[in-house]
Amino acid sequence: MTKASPQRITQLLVDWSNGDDAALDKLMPLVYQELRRQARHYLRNERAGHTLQTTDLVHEAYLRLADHRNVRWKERAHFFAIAAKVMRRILVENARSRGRVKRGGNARKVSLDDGKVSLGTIAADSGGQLLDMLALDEAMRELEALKPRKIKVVEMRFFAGMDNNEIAAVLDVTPNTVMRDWNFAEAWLRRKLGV
Amino acid sequence: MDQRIEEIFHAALELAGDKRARFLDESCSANQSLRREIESLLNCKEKPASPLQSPLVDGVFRVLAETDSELLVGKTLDHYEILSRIGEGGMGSVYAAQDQRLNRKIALKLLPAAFTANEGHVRSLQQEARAASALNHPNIVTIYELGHADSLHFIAMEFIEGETLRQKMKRQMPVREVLNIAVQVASGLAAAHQAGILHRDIKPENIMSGSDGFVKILDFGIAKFKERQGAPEAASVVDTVASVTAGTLSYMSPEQARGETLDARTDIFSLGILLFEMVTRQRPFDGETQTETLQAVLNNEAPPVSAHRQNVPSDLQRIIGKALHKNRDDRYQSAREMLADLREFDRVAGKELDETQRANRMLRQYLSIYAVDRRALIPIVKLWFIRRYSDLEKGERTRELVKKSLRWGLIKTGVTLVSLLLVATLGAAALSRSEQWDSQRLSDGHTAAARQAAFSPDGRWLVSVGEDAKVIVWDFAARMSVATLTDHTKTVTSVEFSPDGKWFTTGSEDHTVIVWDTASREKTAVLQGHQGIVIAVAFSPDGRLLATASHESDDNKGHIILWDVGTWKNIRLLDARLGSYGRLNFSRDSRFLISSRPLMQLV
Repeated sequence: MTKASPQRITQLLVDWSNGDDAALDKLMPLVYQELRRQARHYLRNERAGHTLQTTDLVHEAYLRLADHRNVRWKERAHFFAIAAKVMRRILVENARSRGRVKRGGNARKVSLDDGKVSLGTIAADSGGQLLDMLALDEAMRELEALKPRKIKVVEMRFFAGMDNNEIAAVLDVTPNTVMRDWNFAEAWLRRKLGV
Repeated sequence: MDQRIEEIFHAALELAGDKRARFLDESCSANQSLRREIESLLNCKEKPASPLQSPLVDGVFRVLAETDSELLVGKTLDHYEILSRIGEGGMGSVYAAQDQRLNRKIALKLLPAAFTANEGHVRSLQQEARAASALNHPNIVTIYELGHADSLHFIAMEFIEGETLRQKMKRQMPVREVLNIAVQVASGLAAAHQAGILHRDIKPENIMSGSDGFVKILDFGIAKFKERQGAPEAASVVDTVASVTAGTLSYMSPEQARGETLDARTDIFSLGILLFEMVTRQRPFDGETQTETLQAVLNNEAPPVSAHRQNVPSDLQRIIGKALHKNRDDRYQSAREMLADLREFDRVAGKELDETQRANRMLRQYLSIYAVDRRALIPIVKLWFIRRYSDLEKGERTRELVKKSLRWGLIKTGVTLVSLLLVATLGAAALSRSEQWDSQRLSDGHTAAARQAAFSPDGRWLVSVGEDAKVIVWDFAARMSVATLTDHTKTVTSVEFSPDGKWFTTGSEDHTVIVWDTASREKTAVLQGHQGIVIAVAFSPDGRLLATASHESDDNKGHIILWDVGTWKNIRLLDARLGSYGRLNFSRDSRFLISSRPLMQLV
């Protein structure tokens, strides 16, 4: 798949930030492709024993896709927002076909079909907590129907690791509002999930 | 949800211990359920070890990395063992795999998991499989299975040993090969359209040329079942994805670029571009940026094929041109129509293409002789043949040889040419058959005996007519035919130009007389009024009248009809028995009509 021009990507990002939802549909596959490419780097580096800031990888993805000469902070933030959505989807889909995502240590999960070689393993960083991706997704959908902006915050913070300022830029609110959204959403979700 | 709950929650979060308790007393007042709600939220927020605390980014990359295509080689998916990656398609990667049940090699197209959550994508993958599997045609890739395993959706299809057209186009392809490919693709498209399926992404990367000689259309990835009548096609997600990738832009039709409803003619346009590129190795619409390319597709006429490659048969150029019309109504209306044209061209040109080889061989021979003996020139007849059929690159020496041969040849035929012209202006008999050059030439165009020929007044054109019902227009200077008109259904007996050269008329045994416009070679009028075979046509020197004569063999009768030039109205009908081979001429002052029978006076 040949790459779309950086101008096009930037334009789509601007369109989306102006409320054009169709732009999102066009961007997601592109972002996905790029994240995959970055993921390969990740694995290579990881094997070599380097630690890599994964938000750096998302940033790399952004640089590769968008117009370098005009890396504007606002568009970059939007890119991350999309990356967050993509990543959420990746994990959910992955969980859907495997069961739960284990968090904590280096838990390895084999494919549900015994005897066949698994095509993937899930490892997670520290936290020591079991998190049911599907349940989380379900809960997020529920809250999304009531308070969509709060879920956007959750996506960006939890899936893409964005900070309050970045999230604020995307949503066009104050970082304070972002913080409050997050607090509320976290409480609500934790209560829903019972964790 | 109550806005108040949020407000109180946020405020309470800032406070601790007693202060909080008191604040809650105040704000909730008597409302116990409100208080309980807020307290439970606060509780959950403040519980230790929140699993939502640290971002999940790592896990994502790990998942991505491990389901990465490159790492799949060697693994088994369902009952397919993945052998190697053979390409990156529009929506996923394609692999060569071994079907372990049937023990055969297949191609596996995988859709990455993350996008199967999107219903639209799953649906389009299903569409793709269904589209292609609904078709059973040698020029369309065969689909074996649509499946789902290990969080991947896949399509298993026939494995094709060979190369894509993109790879094939790296070398210049002979016209015959382009034609062969065109016929096969058009055939596959015709089958698809017949089943109500549009491909919508015809391009060199999507067509495989197998080593067994079969050409197959792949990647019905954005194919669409024809919308029900009247329903405008909404641009689907996949549609717009395809349009974003720069590679596909150059193959888009104007209607695609404008986001309009698509139909079979869209595929035809893309096929036209494909042909253009195969022949010239250039794209007809291209630009530095996406915008420029789009502009070109929408506004620019396709450049002529001859600008990029010499000696491409004009019929093929015409076919390509027709497929590339901006206005859909001007294109071929169906793949079947285009296929018919291509096949017809193949049939006609097949002969020609053999002659191409002969002409090339001939030219090469003369060139090598010329290299040794500067006086050995090509005789004019052979020269015409070579100029017509050879497609060799004409180098310096070739051009020199051709020029010298032509000059010498013309000098030789000079005398005969003059006498021909004399005969023509006398307006009488047919060209003398004893003139070698002409009889050879004319019979090369007609498939049956040539009956008559006429020069245009400016000497530029020669029109010959024959028993094959054809009317052939020749460019006299170039010694080449420029049009073959087949409107008559029976032997064409006579032809003559109007004095000003604007028209020429042909009379035929099909009882009609056709008036043609010289410049455009289009029919101006069909004159019907004769009850028998038309045997002669003649214009009056003042250009105002056209006389046509017929013979009815049944009762040995005949008629002459006088027509008004310009309006082509029937003015007079005269009884006349000229027999079946009569001749007709006007006197110089246009007042008398001379025929091979007695003089008739007109007033």
